[in-house]
Amino acid sequence: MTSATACFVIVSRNDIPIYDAELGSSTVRKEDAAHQHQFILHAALDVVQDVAWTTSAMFLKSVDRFNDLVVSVYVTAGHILLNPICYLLMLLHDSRNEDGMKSFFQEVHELYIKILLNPLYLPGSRITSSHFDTKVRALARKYL
Amino acid sequence: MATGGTHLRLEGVPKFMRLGYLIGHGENIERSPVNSATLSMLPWPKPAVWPSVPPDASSEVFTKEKASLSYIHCLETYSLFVQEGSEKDKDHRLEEWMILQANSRIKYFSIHRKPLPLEPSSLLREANRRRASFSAGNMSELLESHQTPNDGSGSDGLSRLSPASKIHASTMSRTYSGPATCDNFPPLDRPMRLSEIHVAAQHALCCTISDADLWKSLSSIEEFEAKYIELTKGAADNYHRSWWKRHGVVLDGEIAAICFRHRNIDLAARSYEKVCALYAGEGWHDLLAEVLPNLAECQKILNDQAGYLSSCVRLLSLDNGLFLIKERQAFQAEVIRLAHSAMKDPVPLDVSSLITFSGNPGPPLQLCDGDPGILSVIVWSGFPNDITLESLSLALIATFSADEGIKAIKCSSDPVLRPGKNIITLDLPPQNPGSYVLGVLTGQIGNLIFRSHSFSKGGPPDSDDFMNYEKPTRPVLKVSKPRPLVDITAAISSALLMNETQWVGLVIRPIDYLLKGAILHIDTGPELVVEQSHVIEIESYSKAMEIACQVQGEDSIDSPVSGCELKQLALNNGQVELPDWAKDITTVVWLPVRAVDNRLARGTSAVFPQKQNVVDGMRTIALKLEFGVAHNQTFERSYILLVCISLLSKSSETKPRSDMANLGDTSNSLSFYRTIAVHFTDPFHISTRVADKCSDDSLLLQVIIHSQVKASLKIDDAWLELQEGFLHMGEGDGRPSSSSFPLTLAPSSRAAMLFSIRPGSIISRGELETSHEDSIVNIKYRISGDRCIGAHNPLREAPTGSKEELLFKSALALLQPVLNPCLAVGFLPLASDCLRVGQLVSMKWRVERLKTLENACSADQDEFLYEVDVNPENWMIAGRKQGHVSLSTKQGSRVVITVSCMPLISGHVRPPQLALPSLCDANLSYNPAGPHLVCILPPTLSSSYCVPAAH
Repeated sequence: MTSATACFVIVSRNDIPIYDAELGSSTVRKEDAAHQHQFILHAALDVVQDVAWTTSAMFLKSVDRFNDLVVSVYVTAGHILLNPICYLLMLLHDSRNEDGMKSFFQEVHELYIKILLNPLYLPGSRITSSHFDTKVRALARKYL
Repeated sequence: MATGGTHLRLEGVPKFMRLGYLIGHGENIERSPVNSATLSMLPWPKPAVWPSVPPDASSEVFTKEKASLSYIHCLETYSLFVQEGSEKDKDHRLEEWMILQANSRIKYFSIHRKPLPLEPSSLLREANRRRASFSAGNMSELLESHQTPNDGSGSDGLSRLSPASKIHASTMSRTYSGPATCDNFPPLDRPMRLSEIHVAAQHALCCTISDADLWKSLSSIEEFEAKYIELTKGAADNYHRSWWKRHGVVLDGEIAAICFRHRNIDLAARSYEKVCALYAGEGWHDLLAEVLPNLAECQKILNDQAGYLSSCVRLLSLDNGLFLIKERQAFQAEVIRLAHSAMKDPVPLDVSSLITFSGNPGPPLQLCDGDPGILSVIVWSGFPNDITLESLSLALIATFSADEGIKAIKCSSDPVLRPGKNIITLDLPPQNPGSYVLGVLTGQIGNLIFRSHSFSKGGPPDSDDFMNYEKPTRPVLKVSKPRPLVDITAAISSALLMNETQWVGLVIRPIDYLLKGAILHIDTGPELVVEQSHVIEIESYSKAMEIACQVQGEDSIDSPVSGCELKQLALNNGQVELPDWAKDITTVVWLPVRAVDNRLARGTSAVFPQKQNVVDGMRTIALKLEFGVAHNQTFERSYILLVCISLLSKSSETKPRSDMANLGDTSNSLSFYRTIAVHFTDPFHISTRVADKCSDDSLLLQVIIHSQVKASLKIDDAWLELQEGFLHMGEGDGRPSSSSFPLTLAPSSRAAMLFSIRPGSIISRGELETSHEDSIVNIKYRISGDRCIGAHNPLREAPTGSKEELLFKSALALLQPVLNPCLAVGFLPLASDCLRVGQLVSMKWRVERLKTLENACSADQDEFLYEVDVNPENWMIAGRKQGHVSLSTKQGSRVVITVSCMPLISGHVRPPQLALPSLCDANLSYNPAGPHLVCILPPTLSSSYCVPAAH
């Protein structure tokens, strides 16, 4: 089952969003919702920074909620402020499929590592690769 | 602290807001993301029965309806305003638009945003639905049939405001509106109007709420807002204390909105600045785009021109997709308006994220030291429209030295930046050697002085903060160190003919540089003349060498000039302008010069070759070449044209003299000095020797001719003019004994001629001859050489044919033979075999006259001076050291000179020597001829000092 609404953001160190995408099958006016989704995700960073210190788990299933949307976070190795290439994968979604979400995060993580290995990519800069975008959207269709 | 879904605000605040919304304070709640996020997820209260309108509340309903009517009307107007095809009067729409601005989410700069919802679903529908579920009819469905299909979504507060539905809703609302009487009170089967819902809710809450403070807060809009601010401030403080800075700052923004509405602009601006700083710092530009226009408006009202300008530029710097093109144009219009307004002081502003720049792709601009250039730079403009700049300059940072500082280069013209990519050309003055990277871009728009530190990698401006810290590393300009840009060398490597007009070839070789419009200044030194009557020639070096090789192979006598494509140049005031085609190829400039030497060549003896002092015959020619962009480059070279007269053929090879090579090395960066020797020499060097001495006093004089040049010499004739005291044998006219003319002499080879002469008295035949101090050899010769190699046929004013004969003269000093000495001086053997130190000894010399001096003219030939030459450390002379003795002029007369002396040291020492200073050494014969030694023993021991042994 595909998630109706989802907003996915990769946040680098210094909490800078380096990739964001509106995912999901919903035909709701995304331009209206986008700011609000980003608003929720941005505010959820406060919670993530608290929770990340209390758990060693990389996958935080439900950090925050918005209506029936849930903010799930995947924290990569190391804590946010310690590791210069540590980053967060944040997803605002209405999916109940936990395994699918985990798989989505892991595969996007792999994709991002491939991007990092690109010598022309400056770590921390915005991801503008259309290939990456296409793959992320395909993964969202597959797992969410 | 609350966790979970309502993190954005403490739980009490949204519930309070919801209550306020229910009783009709919704218009006063800011439709901000945070309010929308909190309220749209908070479900409507679910009472068992939705409250009905109390019967005595008609006046309240009327008041509420009047208030809400204006609000709904404004929303309707808004929808009409955004519709292009609306037929309403524009002025009317504009007026309504102004009213709308106070209530809806329409921002400044004509930014259109659809309002965010504050409710999970339509209150009207929810209330009526819940009421209808208790009635027989299904009026809610009837109502929903008028709604759009989208109304079923969770955020239908948005869709409620869509134009079609709004019109229906308002129409219905108006249909049922009117004077509120008891008769009009809605029965259960009639849908409630919004105002009725508000009044019903208010009454229901009045019965429910027991807390007087809370009820007071809900009683009026002012009280509601005061409580709202109090709660929000408390929540913000709590969030700040718990380091949830994002939550805290967002709530600060809500307070700012209330402050703005209450015209407390200063406080609002400060709060908005905090929100903007958070979003900008963390790079959430979508969120920044929501708040920044509010801040800009505050700054505009506060007349904070610098801040307002900065905000406008920041708005322009945000992603293109965040604003419509019209909105971006409005930002730019504001920037330009402010920049050209009468601001007191120029405002400096950083536009790093709006205007970026980069060098041209590809290799950096390469310039030679001292050359100006044109640097082309790509500038990316983030402005939506063309923008005219008053000035634009770019700083270059030297990568090699921190002391070099930053040099700003101004754009010559006032550039107009188009949206996107622009290529700007900058006039580059001469720079110091090294590599340069782009520094900071500065410019001026009216009173706005902007600068950009942002270096783009050739793409559009990147608003990502992370990229702004990226420093450019690729140099855009490389200025090479001072290096020779051109080299001028001599085209020939061997000697040229002295006293003849010869071509001197100057090879002008550009070294990776264009000699455009080059001017060669020629200034000859003393004793060197440039033949003005002849033109200067120029030809391609490779072509000249090619022809020279062919000529050498064919061994042609003719000059190679005829077969080569030549261009002739005129010499004006010592200047020659090089043609344009010579700018990038190596060329040879042929200069007709004549080295002047008035001295006669001198021959030498084959036994004692005489070395020539080369410094005596130097000639100089100063060359200066002006070239480069605007003739900024100069090349100077002093030639030493070396006159080489009598070097032996082997040593006459042309070599740069190392001792002269650094006369003025590297005096400044634009001039190069070097000395290269080009020889001028006579064609021949003459040396003589006596080949044989015959019994009849005649001599066979061999005159050896050394060819000094790398050219074939053909000797047609030669004769010897003898000095006084010598005569030619027989009836000779001075020609050599064996005539083998014409005699061809290969380059650097030798030939000899024999002359039979004898010493003899002058003028035996009674002829009047010119007397010479020296003998003179005359040689008539022709030369066939190549000017690319060395000596060649001299230039003539009017050539009379190829059989051009040249005459060479060389002086020879013939010495008369010395036959016999007049006096013999003999050292007589010592009386004792062994000399001892301290023992007096008599040294004796016998002087004997061998013959009478022929040329003796003095009267006192019988008396001469003698002198004893002795080392005073070895010998002590007892008596006179010098004196006069008389000797008869008769042949065989002799005299003995005795000098007493005492040796002072033992060993082998030179004995005293007798010298006759008044007589020439040539007339004396010594025996022994050379220095000799005598043995001196130590002094004898004295026995009187000896002590016998004890036994």
